Amino acid sequence: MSASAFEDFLVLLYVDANARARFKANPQAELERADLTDEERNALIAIDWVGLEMAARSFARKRESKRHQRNPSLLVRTFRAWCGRFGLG
Amino acid sequence: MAAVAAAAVVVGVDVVVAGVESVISTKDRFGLGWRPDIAAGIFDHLDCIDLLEVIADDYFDAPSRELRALKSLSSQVPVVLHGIGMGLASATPVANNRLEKMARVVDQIQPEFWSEHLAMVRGGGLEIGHLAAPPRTPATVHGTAENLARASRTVGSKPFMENIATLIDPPGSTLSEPAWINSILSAAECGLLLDLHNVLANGLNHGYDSLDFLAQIPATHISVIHIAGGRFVTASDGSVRLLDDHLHDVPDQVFDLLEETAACSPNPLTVILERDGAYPSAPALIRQVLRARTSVERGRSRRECQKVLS
Repeated sequence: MSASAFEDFLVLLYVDANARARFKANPQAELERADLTDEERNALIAIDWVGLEMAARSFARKRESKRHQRNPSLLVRTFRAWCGRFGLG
Repeated sequence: MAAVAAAAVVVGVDVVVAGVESVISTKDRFGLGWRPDIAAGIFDHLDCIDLLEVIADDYFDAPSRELRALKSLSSQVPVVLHGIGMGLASATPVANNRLEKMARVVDQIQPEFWSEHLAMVRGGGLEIGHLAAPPRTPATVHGTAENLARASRTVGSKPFMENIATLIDPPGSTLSEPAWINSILSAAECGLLLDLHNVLANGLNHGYDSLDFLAQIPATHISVIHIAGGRFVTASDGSVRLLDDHLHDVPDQVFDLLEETAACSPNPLTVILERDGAYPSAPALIRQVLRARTSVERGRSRRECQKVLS
C-alpha cells in the first residue's frame, strides 16, 4: 500500500539520522528501495530539509525525555523507595 | 465582511455539533491539563477550574488502584481524557490493542468526552516519540475516518480530534490543512478539538494567516479548545519557527484567537490550558485560565465575527 509506505519512509527520516544522511547524499538510491509512486518520490526529493531537521531534533528530544521518565535516576528510585517504606506518596 | 454569530445558550438538551451528538456543557467552561507536578496548586484553586483534562495514555497500563484514584478525582471535578499515542491520522490501521486500552480507561472513568490527535506517531516499526503531521491527502482522510470508525466502535464513543503543530509542512500533501481537517470531520462525523497555539504556530511557520485558517473551519465543528504556549527556535539556515512545546505561557495572540473563536461560535466552548513543564506558580497558571474566560466573554459580547462563517 503506497500511502502507508510513504508514511513509513517519512517516519524513517524523522527518527533515523543515518537514514536522513543517506537520503540527503543520494535520494534516488534510497527511494528505489521504497514502494512509492513517482509523485511520492518527487515529493520526498523536494522535502523541506530545514523543517525536517528541526522536526527530527524535536522528536529526538521527546524520545529522550520519555526514556528518562521510564528509567528514573538512581536518586529518584531511592527517594521513591524511601517514600514507599514510610508509606509516603 | 462581518457575519453575526450568537452565543448559543442551549438549555438542558444534547448539543448537536456538526452531526455528532455530544452531551457537553450548556455554558462556556474553563479548565486545565492535569499534571501530578501541579496537583497541589490545582486542588488549591478548584473554585477557578471547571474541569481537568487527563492524559489517557498514563493510565493504559496502570494498576486498578491508580484508576480508582483517577475515578476519585473525577468525583471532585469533571475529568475528560486526552490520548496522545494512538496515531489515528494515518493510512495505516491503528492497532486494536491501543483502542482496547483506551476503551478500558474510558469505561472505568466515564469521562464527559475523550480526545486524540490528527497525527501519526509511528510507522515501519519505528516510534516517532511525538505527534507528527501525516501527508494531507485523500488516502489519509480515508484512513483516518476508518480508524475513527473503529475507535468509536471499540471505545463506545467518538473522540474530539485535535489539530497539531508541525515544524515541517508534510511532504506529499495535496490538501490544505483546513480542507484536510474538514474532510476528516465530515467523513468521520466527529468534532474538532481546536488547538489555537497550533493554529498560530502553523500559520507563522508555513505562511498563512491564522484568522483565514479559522474562517475555513465551520464554527459548528468547534466545541473544545486548547490554549498553550511555545518558543521560537532557530533553524540551521537562520530562519525562525515557532515550536509548540507547552513549556511557556500562553501568548497574547492565542487569547486574541480565542476571543475571535468565541465571537463566531454557536456552541458552548470548553477551553483547556495545557502546560507540560517549566511550571509557573499555581496563581500564575490560574491567571491564564481566568484570562481565557475574559477572552471568551469579550468575544461573546461582540456577537459578530470578523470573518464570514463557513
